[in-house]
Amino acid sequence: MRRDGSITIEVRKQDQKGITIVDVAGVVDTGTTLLLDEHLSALLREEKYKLVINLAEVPYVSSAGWGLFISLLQKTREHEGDIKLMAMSQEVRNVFNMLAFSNLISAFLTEEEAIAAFAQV
Amino acid sequence: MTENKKSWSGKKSSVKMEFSIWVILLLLVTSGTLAWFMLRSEKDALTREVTRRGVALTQYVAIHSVDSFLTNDKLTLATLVADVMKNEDMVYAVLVNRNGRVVASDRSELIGKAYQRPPESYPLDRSSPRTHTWLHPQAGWVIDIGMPLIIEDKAKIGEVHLGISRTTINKVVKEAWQRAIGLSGFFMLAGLVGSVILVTLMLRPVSELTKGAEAIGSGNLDYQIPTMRRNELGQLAVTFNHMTRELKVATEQALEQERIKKELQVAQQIQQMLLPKQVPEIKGFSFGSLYRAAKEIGGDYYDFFQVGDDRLGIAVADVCGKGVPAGLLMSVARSILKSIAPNQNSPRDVIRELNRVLLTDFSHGLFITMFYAVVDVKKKTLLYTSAGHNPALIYRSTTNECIVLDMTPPCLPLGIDGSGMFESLVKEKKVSLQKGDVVILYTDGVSEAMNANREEFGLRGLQASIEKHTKEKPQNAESIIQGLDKDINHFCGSMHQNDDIAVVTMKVE
Repeated sequence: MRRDGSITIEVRKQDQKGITIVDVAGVVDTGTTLLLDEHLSALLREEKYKLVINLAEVPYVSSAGWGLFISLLQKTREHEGDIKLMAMSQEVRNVFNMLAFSNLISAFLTEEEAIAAFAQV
Repeated sequence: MTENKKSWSGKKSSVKMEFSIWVILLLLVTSGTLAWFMLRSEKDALTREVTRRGVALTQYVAIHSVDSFLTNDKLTLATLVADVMKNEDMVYAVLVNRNGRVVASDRSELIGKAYQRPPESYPLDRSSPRTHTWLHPQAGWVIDIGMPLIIEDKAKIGEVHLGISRTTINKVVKEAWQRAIGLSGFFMLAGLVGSVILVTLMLRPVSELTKGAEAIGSGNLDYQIPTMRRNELGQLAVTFNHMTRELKVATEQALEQERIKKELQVAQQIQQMLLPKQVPEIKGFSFGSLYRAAKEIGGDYYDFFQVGDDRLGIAVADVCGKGVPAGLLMSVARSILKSIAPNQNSPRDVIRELNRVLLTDFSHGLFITMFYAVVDVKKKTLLYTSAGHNPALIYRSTTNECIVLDMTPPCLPLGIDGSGMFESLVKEKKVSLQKGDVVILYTDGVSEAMNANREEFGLRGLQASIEKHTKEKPQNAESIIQGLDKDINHFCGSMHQNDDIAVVTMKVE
């Protein structure tokens, strides 16, 4: 996994169910959060409110990054959408657990589980 | 400035002089070369003309003397010589018979004597006519024109020699030289005046540029050089004006940055003032603190609160993000905490109240993690809670181990949830403290401090550092934290500090 401070964000759309998967690769810190925010805000403008954030290639999420996810959570839920995190690394999951975010954001191991969770709502 | 000006104006006049000298030199070489070629060709033309005339005269004499030679009519020959001598520039006229004796001459004493050829001239053969220039002892340079007298294309019966002076040619050439020199002098003077005027005109835009540079040098960045002609200097003026505008923008930006920097320095000073100036002094305890912001303004925070007579509140917190926004949020949280903490024995109640107040101010996506503990200094107990913050560590003197304080289940950070979830999640726990125990409250900037290989100092690194510095020799909380600071610095090496760092240590003495 990349730790050099760069980030790659790829947006995959699952048009049938209106679910959008965002593949993130790299460190989500104060700097890269701004870039991620731009991408995710653009999706909200396109009225994509069902988002799966794939963190499989993310070694670290800073507090600014978590702040972005919380903000996104509130915005998507206002439009009957949601965000789901998937494939967190152990390091990221440790922070996720410490922040007790499991009480707010659903996290899944696989993409299939995340997409299936949207269907259940 | 004045000295610069002097040397600059000195250079300006030297440009004039230099230019004038070069113009004069160029004119001198050009006119000299031109005059030399022209005069040379005029001299050649004159020589040819004189020679042609001489040859015609010689032929004339030759034709008219043949009969007299054959009849030996010396009188006619003498008359012929006398006639020829009437020509201007004629130096001598000599008629020589086939035996080389002078038959007729302008100098009668030579008649009957052997004819002496001009020095370095060859005897005449049958070809005709032939010229030879030589230095006559009295008349100077003379063109000698010799012609053999041939009858019936066979027999040579004599020779005609005429000497024509070059004096007239030389005189004409000399006069022409004088005219050329005069003319050159006139052109050089005109060139000098012209070049001075030209240089003055050319330097006028330069002096405009100088004026502009001086204006800018004295700080007037609004100065613009008047529009000039569309030549190289005009282009320079345009570039100059463009540069001035850019410079003005850059200067304004630099000033703005300087202003921001100063404001940040002030903000930093204010933030330093908001942090405790010293650690508490309580009998039976020692305290230490460490604070290092990654930027001018930090988002980390620690504080101590007197809670009643026997209790001390200790808070360590981290605002999401870094820099000024984080610093501002932190100062808001601090103010609220300052008003709540001294009146509450329960850390949980403090945190709940803090969350409630913060929720009214915080917008989406902002939160604070906080570890808050209340120490009962009499009973030596620690009551603590955490809102999404790294649980504190405790070094147990009985086991010589540094362990993580239990904080399960975890609670959400402050400022996110107002639905009651936070209220239900937040718990407080209690541990009793023994002599030699050390409690370490810290922010994730410590455990996540990175080295150049992108490895983290880690929780293990923190625990190991605390164990090392507590075990080695009797230490107080301050020296333990100094040891930790050194370890973090050593670990990170040249790597830039990525996140704010705040640590508080408390040791039971």
